[in-house]
Amino acid sequence: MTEQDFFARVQETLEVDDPIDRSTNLELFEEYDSLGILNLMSLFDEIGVEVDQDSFADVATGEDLLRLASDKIDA
Amino acid sequence: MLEGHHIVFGASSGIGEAIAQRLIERGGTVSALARRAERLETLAAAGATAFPADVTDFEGTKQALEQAVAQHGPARSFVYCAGFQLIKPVRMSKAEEVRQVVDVNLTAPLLLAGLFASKKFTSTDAVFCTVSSIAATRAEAGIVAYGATKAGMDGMVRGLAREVGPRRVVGVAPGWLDTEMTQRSSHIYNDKFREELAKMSPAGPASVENVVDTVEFLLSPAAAAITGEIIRVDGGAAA
Repeated sequence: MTEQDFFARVQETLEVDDPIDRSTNLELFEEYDSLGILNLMSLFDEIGVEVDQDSFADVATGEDLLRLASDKIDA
Repeated sequence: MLEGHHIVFGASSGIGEAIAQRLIERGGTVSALARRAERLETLAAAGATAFPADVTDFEGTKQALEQAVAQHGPARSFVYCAGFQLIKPVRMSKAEEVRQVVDVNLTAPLLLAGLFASKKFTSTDAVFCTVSSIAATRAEAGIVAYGATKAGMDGMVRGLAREVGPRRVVGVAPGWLDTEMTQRSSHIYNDKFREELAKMSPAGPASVENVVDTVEFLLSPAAAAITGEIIRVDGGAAA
């Protein structure tokens, strides 16, 4: 999966209008709440990345999300 | 003592396996049904008769029950422990995942209820005991389909009890338990979750053994006046 594909899936999962990239501050989205994190956990499960709710404790930006999924992103 | 023929669905692990084991210890004759035949070997070694059957295949399950009854006579109890948990917000849930939850948690026990009501399969003093969940009454995000099917199961317990008397129909509604099913969601049920659960459970978090004790009581003559009832076993977490 490319980085671009990954961020497109994140945008689709959170159902936000604005494109997401490394520099996006996720905390500005009201969709990035506890249910949004559950939705993202489902996305990570689909792409084969093991995460738990604590994994998102320090996630504030697109860069942080990308780091969580780094094993599945094409170099 | 719980002599007589008991049929346990979903007996290969967790609550089902523990209940089957308890019924054998109490002198019962146990027919153990589960999808994974190899997972029934421990129970078979303990004295149960193993019948590989997938509860979502009604005809196959019916055939297994016919064999069980031919071998051990009409059942004194159906104990339905098969369950499928889906932890996903509804927007991320796939149609086949939702159908699987409904098929295992609701459609299968409803179809088995038809057999339970027949003297071909059960004695007139038989008990149908289902394993529900506090999710039936305590809604949570991420387990909507699971909670909805367990609420449906509770409805079945109450309605079926009215339809099949003097046979009895009961349920247990465990809170969170440490079982193979929940261990598959260790990313949700992590140490932090367990700590929070302990704090909100005045009698301490419930165990599989607590649930088995309750099922044993509900199947026994001591519970002869209890039908159409679902007993919560959660250490008081939902009180």
